[in-house]
Amino acid sequence: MKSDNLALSLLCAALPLALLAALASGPVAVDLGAALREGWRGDSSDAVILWQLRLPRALLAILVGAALGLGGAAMQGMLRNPLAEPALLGVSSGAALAAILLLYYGSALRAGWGAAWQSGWLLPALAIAGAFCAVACVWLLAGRGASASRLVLAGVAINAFLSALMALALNYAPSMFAMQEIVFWLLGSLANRGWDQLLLALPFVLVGGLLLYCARNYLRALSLGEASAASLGFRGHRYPLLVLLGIASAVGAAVAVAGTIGFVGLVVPHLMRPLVNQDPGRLLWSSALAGALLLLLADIVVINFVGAQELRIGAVTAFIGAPFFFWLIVSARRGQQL
Amino acid sequence: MKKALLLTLLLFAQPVTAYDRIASLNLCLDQVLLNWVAPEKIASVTWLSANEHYRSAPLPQHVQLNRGQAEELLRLQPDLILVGQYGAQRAARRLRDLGMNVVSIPDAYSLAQLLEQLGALESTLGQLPPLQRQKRQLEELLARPVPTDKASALILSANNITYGGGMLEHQLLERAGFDNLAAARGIEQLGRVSLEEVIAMRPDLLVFYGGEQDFAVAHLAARHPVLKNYIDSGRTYTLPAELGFCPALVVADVLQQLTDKRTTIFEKR
Amino acid sequence: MTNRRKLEISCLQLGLERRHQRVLTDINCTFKPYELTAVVGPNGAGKSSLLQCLAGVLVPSGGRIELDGLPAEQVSAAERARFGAYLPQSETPAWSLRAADLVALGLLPWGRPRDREARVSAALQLVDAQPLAERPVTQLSGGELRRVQLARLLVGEAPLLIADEPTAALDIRHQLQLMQNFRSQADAGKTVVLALHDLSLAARYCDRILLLQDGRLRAQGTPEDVFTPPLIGDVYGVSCEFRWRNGVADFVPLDLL
Repeated sequence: MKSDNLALSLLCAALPLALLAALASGPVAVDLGAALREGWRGDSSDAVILWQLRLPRALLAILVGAALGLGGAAMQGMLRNPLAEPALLGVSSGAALAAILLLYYGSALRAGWGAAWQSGWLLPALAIAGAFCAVACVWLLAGRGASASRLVLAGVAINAFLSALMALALNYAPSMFAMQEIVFWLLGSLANRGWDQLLLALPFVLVGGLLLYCARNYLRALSLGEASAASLGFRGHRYPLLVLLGIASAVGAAVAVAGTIGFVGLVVPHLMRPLVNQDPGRLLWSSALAGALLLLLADIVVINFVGAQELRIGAVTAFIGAPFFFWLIVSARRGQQL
Repeated sequence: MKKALLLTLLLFAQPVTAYDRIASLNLCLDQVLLNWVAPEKIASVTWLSANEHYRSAPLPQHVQLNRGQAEELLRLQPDLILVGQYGAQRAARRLRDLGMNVVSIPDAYSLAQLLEQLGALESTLGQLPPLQRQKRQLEELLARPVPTDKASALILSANNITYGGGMLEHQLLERAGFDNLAAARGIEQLGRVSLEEVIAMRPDLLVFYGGEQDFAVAHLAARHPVLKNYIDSGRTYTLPAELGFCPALVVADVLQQLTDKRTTIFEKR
Repeated sequence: MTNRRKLEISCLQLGLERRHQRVLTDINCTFKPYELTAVVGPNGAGKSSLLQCLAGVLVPSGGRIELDGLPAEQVSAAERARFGAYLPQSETPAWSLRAADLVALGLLPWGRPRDREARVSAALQLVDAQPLAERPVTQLSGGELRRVQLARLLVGEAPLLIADEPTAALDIRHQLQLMQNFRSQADAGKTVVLALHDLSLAARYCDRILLLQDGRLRAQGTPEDVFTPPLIGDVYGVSCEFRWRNGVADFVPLDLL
């Protein structure tokens, strides 16, 4: 108990430290103290690099990581399945597909919505709509009062279909960058992101987080099964819809600005579950915290990695997350033998 | 006598070339034909030129699109086939063996090669006014002395790519009186430059590459708000996309515009 | 927030269809405070479905349920949860919660009461499961888990307690202890409804028996009224004997009919 709380406080303390590390790392040597003193409106290149480039990118890593961790915890809680992750319900591929369609076939929209197109918010907004559509398809396919297993099945089916559509759309894409852009959508990236992207995703992630917070007791009750949860007052479509909309909003926004970054939503809730006594309610915020930390650390690795091409952050999260996962499996196996 | 005079007049009024059915097996030479040669004299261009991304001149209805196959061109019976230095070499050899008039135009990766290329085009296609104008303009600009008082510039292309020493873009910047900061950092050919480095280097002129009208993740750097200062103060220049695949069409204009840009930067100081 | 101490729940012409099959037909019955009722019947008779309708887990497709005369549709889900607590036949926890945390889930309809820990430990004591409090539920045996789940049922303040075969998987000591628990809950004014297979336990502890057959109410009344060899023989298809000694019934199945 005590050691668990200690571990959680350590995670809380690690986040600002990682933020400092992220602000200190980059291809250019920056005098952090001077840049900080100069403040937000500073004109020197050090201040501009700190306030306009490094800070928004680091905060975006925190925001996206938190959204993914939160989404993963909620998804595992709702489906009562430790192998669930947000991508399972097509949230990520729905968002990515909508974005791809707009990017490569949106010339008609480009004419009509010129201003919106130029400002760049149309893409994330549509990606979030795509995430909602994917969830709606899963919901309709699974049917009224669907059980968790039917939702998973519907999610897998919709997800596979959306992935096929993505591949098809890219095969016919006229863009010069088509192949490279698909790598972006599959592995994610935080490079070249600024305050505009952060502000775009922030409200959706906050709303998603709020919806999931409202559903925390539903997720707790659901650990007893659907019938017991219903008898505890969590009856009808309201609560599952709350969770699905929360996930779509938070994860959809994250995918829209940073691409589909895998592994965070799957691994982070696993790592945090023992620290919160397996409570699905407390798991929500602790997974958000750990997801933010994981993605920020991954981005620090990306920034400091020297290579011809930018290292993709999705690959890094897998590199950091997978060994933890191995360790978890091995320790569980050992526990069984004893 | 009257007839002869009329003929001479016609000769001078129209862009003249000795050939009536010209075909091209090279994207850049397609553009040269479409832009500078009378449409009725063009028999075929490559399929890539159907893409508006590469084409600035209209594509006449009667022009056939080829995919670089000898058979396609044989059927059209062209009296001149233009090929580049690389690509479609097998088709060019077959066509030459079959007795067709195949002319190879050298590719251009530097200002010197561009002059050569324009010369080769002139001697093959004849006295085309737009071609001559372009060549003359370039020769004039190159004859001027390079300004000694330099401003600094940096190219930021898609995917944070920058152009260093040895590239045509670098030569153009230097000729126009700019220090290419990428080359100064020791970047040869292509290199990567992060936004942080752009801000830290503080170039006087920030140069983008064309094709920016489309939203793509690759262009995110160029639309980052941190560059707003540059855009607001007019310290940016966008290279036309043609410079990347067919510099002969635009090089003189680009050099002229860059020179003008340097002058305004100095005036503002 | 209304906290009721007593609750009377009635089924009027209750019918239920699931996947186009009639599961319950025309059930009319009333469960009163101070009453311990056993719902008995062969497998597939509709016992669990009736209990789930009472608990508000299933919505009847015909007839209605009234809570103190109030139609159930007019009661919000949250309020309904404070009226009645329900323990399903099998409840597998998805996560390896601590036993005490699982019991605390029974308090969810009441928010987070201040004396949460005290109530949880009292409920655990009631089912003789206090030493299990800190154990993860996935490490408990079947009977231990069942007792912890019963503590979850008893921890709240609901005036109506519904349990589906609570004695299954329990040893004889804990079966008796459990029935005595329910008896004293009923004596304290609660309305208790249990689905039971053990007719001896039902006869010994319950005030009223509901005998279901093929989704219909075959008989209801005191154990003495319902547990007669001809009726049981007809419904279950076994010949049997009931021996009554000092109010303790001994049910002996004899042979297949």
